[in-house]
Amino acid sequence: MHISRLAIDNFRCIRALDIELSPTSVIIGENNAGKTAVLDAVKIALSRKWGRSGQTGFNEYDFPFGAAQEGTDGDIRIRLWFSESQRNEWHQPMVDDLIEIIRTDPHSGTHSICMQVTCSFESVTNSVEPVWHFLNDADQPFAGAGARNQNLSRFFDYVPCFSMAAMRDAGVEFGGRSRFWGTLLKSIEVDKDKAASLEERFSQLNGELLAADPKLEAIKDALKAISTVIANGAAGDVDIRAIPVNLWEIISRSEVVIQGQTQDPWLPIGKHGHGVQSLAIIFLFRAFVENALGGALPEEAEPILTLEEPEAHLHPQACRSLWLAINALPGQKFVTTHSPFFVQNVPFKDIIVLRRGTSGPVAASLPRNFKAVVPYNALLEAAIAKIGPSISWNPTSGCIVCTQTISDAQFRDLLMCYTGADRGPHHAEIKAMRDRSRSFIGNEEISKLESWAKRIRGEIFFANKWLLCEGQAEYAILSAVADKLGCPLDAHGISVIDYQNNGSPGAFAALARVLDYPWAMICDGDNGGNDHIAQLRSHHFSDAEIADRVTQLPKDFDLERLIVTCALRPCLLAAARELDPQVVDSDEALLALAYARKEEIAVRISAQIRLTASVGDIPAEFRAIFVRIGACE
Amino acid sequence: MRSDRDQESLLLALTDVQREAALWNEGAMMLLAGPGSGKTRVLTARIARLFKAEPSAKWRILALTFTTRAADEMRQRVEELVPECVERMFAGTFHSFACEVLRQSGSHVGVRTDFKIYSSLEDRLLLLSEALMRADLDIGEPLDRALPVLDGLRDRLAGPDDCLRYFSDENRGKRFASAYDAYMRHLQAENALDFPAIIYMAYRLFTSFPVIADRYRRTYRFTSLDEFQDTNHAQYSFVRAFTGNDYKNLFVVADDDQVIYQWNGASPQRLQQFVTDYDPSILQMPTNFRCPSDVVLMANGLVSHNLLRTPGKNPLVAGKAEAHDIESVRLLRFESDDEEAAGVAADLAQKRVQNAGDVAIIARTKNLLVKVQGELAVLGIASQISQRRDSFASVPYQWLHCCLKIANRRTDPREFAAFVEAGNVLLDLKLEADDLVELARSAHGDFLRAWASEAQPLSAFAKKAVDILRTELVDRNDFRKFVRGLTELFAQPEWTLVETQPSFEEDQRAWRDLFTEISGQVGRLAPLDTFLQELDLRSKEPPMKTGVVPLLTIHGSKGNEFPHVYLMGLAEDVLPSFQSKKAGDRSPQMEEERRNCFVAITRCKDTLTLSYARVYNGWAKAPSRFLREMAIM
Repeated sequence: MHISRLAIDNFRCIRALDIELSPTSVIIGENNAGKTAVLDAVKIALSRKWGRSGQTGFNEYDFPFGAAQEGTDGDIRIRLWFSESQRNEWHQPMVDDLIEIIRTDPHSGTHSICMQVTCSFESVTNSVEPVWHFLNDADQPFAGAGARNQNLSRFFDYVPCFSMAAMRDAGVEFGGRSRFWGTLLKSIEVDKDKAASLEERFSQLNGELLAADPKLEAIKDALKAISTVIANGAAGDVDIRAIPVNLWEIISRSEVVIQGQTQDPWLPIGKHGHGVQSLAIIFLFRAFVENALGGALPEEAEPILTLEEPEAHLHPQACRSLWLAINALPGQKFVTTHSPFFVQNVPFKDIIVLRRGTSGPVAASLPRNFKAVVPYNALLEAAIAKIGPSISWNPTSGCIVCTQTISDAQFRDLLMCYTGADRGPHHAEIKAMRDRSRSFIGNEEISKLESWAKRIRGEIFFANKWLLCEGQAEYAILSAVADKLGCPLDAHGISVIDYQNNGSPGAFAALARVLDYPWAMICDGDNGGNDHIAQLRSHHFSDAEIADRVTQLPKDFDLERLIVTCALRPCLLAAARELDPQVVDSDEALLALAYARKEEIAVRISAQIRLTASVGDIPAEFRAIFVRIGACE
Repeated sequence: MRSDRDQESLLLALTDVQREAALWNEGAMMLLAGPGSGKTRVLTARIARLFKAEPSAKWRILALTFTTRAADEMRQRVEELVPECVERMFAGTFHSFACEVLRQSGSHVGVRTDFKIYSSLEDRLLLLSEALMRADLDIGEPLDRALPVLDGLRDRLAGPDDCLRYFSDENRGKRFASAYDAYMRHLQAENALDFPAIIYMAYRLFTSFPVIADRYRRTYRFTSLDEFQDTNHAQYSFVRAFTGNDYKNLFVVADDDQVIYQWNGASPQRLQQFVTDYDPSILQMPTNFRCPSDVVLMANGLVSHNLLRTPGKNPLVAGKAEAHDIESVRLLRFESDDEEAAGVAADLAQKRVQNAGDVAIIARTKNLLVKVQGELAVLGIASQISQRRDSFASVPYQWLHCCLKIANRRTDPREFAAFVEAGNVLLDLKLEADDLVELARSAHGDFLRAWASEAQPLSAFAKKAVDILRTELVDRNDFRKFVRGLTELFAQPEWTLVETQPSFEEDQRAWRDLFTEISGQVGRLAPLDTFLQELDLRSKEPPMKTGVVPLLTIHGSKGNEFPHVYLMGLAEDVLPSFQSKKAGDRSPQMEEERRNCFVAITRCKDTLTLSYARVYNGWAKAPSRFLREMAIM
């Protein structure tokens, strides 16, 4: 059972956040963007501390408006949805066990559970009072059997929640009392006779050790004085134990030793570097889930793990392979990361970009569906049947749900369902859904983007702004231009994406749109450029949006021709002469060389721009794209 | 191995045919169980056996019964046999199961999860008059005549849109259709259901959204139905909708010779319908372990005159070893109904039965019982007429009930008005609900708090009652402590409630039993709303006192047994009733009267005393034809 949706209100820096989640969700965002608040909200909502006064998981600092504001407006509210993606996904025994709190979609028959935690601050008692509820399809707390207390503990058995903070200390995590290692050790079962015989042998070993150096015997005799002092009547005794004779004592001291390479010495985990320690704990979690979690919990129980910065202290190569290891961990994972190396293998649909908006954090991710709240009628039923599985009716929320871009024909069919005098608002609602659905990126395109963009995309997700250009040559020159304009790429978090090598401009622009990255694009004034702009149109960008975002060079102009005809011509000439001192100083000759050795010359032009050009030499076309993304005036 | 032995012990005490029934697994089964044949034992043994076979599974068993008392009894027995599995059984009436379904999934048909239940006739008449007023309708008939018509339509599962065909007068039909629509809308606006609406709405839920029914039949792997013969059309249709066409794990226990709810829509043909719909295996349990053999012979003689019976049904077989020294059946003759009452009372007094509860007097209608109660009182013998009550009879318990209802819905004006009114009578106050509502709305919105701040009674006990309410329900919300505190206060002899409040003592006993039974069903930690829901469904009739002779109508005697039974009024126009004779000697109504007689005589374990008079209400009446049919005349 996975959390499919998470909504948080009034929790720490979060005002209102509503996100859809994957089996593994990777949250990226700057420091202080609210990543930890999201993980903690999940953690507290699913923690078993509920009900115990004073230890409910919440404290007064979790209220964004402080303790001052009372009344339900300022209450913390966390809601978690668990949903089947298709019918019969959940095992029937679990459904049977949780039937009181399960909602069933009346059309698809899929099950879901919605758990809500609200927490208010009571100024009288100066305490926080969280309340757990399960909600029905109409988002009301269940009355009847669904309101019983035992539902909560029964439910928690299916979704045990664990967390690992960014700082992971193997010394603690591999101690005999730790939650994973300690529990694993305690789950070790040794046959009674075997235990007795082992303890017997430990005792013998002790004897042998003591006998090895007579000094030990002498020490023992000296210490015997203790027993004569404390013994009251019955004489006691004193012994020295090099190793414990009790089996549990031995087991609890078990430690993990790791040999890095065959020639290396075996070292206890605590003696390894932070990277190895951190990694070992992640794998320890896996061993724990697979070997010790079962026991008291039902068979269908699936852990939920919140994991902060799994990449901590790891080499880029290790970061890259880490995704596979984490994705393979059992259960559902929420991961925060600052590592482009880690992110580069994460499927796009699993990425959530968290940013600080004017009223708290906002999240962006690839949309999965689009909704319109309209009344149901027979015409709508027929229209939905005609359109097919990409659109459906949800009677409980009273809305149409679509999972694809709505075509013009489908749009018209939907509009025709409402022809009465009151159609205005319904048409507006359907149009809004159609407009939103245009940002949909199909699976095929996503997988293309993923394979094309593997090399650079890790970086682009950590950028603030995207600049789309055709190729490597533009990439080199634009970075020099940015320096000249006083908006160096790195300082402004601008990522330049040379889309010809990585996919299509339309796909990147669509991705920027759904993930909310400000973007701009530059392309040539030729057929190629026209094609690229057409691609944007096919991704449902309007002419106005294109005019706002895209700089197309004048007709028949490309990058080289622009430079040769503008104040940067001396830079091109100097660059060309570096490659061929004999080159003739004519537009034709310079262009011929520039086309022949495109990338080589671009790198040299960019060096020349940095060295010799002045701000005034930068052509308006270049400046425009930086203005569009708000990097300069 | 252990479980095999447990299984053995479960079945050990059963006869061969009982064991065969208890061993029934999958598939439809119709068990034709005569009176005293041990059907409850079979039902509980089978359920316990099914659970024991898979003690750690999660699927559930649905055990539908005709009364909450039968459900409580079944739950207790199953709990004794398999305490660890009793949570997996839902034992309850059609109404309680339908309620639970609606609380979980009713939102799809517009029923909120926290709906109220109006069971008393006064409440429902008030709702109807409000509904008609709001809709500006005049139904043209007294409301207490109109309401049963609306109930009848829902029992036929006809909605406001398709009920016209039930009216011969079209204009009247139209008036009722509008009134029906207005009433259902008003119930919805009040977030309330009455008893007929519960089954009707649950049926609509299951038929409108078959996947919702499917979810329940998956979880409830086995279903049993007790007293199936008295299932009416709406209840049977609800079962059909629940099972769909493929679910066959229905185990019904029925006896078509005991159909006595024909007037409520039950029908002997229901068994035939079940055979057609489910193609069940059929087992007969004709052996009667309760009654003397003479009574068994009489019962057989009686029902052999009925034509509407399951073909091939075996006659009852006496299965009880009996002492031959007592006269098991007697017939008393009297001159008039008054003499009959006096004579029966005198005969009973003469019997010197040690425990008065071992003798029951049964009659077709209540008026004969009232007469005999007076005569018993003259002889110093206490007796009690058993009858369902939808609300408490005394002011103190009416107020207690109101307190709980308003504590559960602190802003409900209707509940509040009833609460204030009852409080004014009990505590001698002169508060106006409207004023308090104003007061509450201007401050905290909590009606109960406003009442507690304004209630200034004079007497010390009334003051104490207000204090308890303030502490436990206003400042805190601990309804169990409130109930304990208030009932203890009620019981203080100085308050003299026993002396001054009619029916107080009966309510006191009723409350004690209800509180224990409901806590047993919903758990001791159940929240107030769960407790109240269950209270709404149950009769508030006091339990029989020990040492008191129970006086029962035939319908009230269903499911009971007594060592000694008196059946009065065996005269034409009494039993059989005047109406049934009017319908004809071969009418279904006459057959129902015969079954009434059959049910009444088979309540006895040791002796049966029949009586009749020559004159009833001043009119000469012939002895009942049933006396001849039973061959004792």
